[in-house]
Amino acid sequence: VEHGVNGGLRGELIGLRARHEEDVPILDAELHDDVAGDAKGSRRAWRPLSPGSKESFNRPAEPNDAFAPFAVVELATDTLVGGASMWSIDSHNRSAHLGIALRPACRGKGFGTDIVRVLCYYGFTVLGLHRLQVDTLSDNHAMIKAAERVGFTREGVIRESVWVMGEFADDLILGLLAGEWSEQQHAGG
Amino acid sequence: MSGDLRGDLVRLRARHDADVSVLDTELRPAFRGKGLATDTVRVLCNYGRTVLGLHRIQLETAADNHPMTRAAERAGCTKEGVLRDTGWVLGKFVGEAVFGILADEWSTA
Repeated sequence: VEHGVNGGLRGELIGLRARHEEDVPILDAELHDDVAGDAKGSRRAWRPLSPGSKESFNRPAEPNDAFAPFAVVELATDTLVGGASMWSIDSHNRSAHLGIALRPACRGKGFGTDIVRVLCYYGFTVLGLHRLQVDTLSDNHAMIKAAERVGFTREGVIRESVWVMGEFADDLILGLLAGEWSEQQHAGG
Repeated sequence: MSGDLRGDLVRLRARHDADVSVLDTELRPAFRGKGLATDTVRVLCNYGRTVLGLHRIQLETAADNHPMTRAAERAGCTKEGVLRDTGWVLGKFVGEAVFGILADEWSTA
């Protein structure tokens, strides 16, 4: 992971940059408007959004101390592949949560692992955090695999904690500590 | 939404967010070690299920807080995980145990 030419963050396949206004209609149409998909990822009740709505979760927001929203682009083609964010950034306990959402056509290409890795670089190296956490549905095998490839450890299953399209689902929590991350970097992982 | 129940011996505080309900108890120093915590957790669970109609209640405590851990288990909560190094406490990172209890698991007895 190295710094990009525009001060962005680059992995092997993808780069993270700020959200742009033109990303919003794409992410809203492909991620938000998929009711079941949004219900799994957002943890909120799905509601219809008009084009240009200020309520869009994908809208560029000014980053603040607790939240860092990114757009994810494929380096080879410079196309938008999804969104990523670091949230609940806590400077006292030096921890944060991370999440990603890929456009449907961009799944299954190994982007997830690369995105998680660049987010870890941002959290540990840029922000100086001590702990990063992934909260994902326990049947989201793609996210779990991505997190585990980067070195995250399964820490617990929070039973029936999320309402998803008619039933309660379990959340899996994974954690990665700064020491584990740097050990892995030195091992060339 | 939040609810406060105050008594002479214990103070109960419940935090009820949109999706997750987390219960929290704090006992005054002179009233610790008397079995009040288990009772407090039971009453909070009863409040969550009966008054609020919740499906799930979660309890989080420092991994080394044995009185709270014991109270949670006695009240019927299941230990679902230990999140490592979640909190900075007086010079070091400490972990956090997460407990959960579902609506069909707690008794009103």
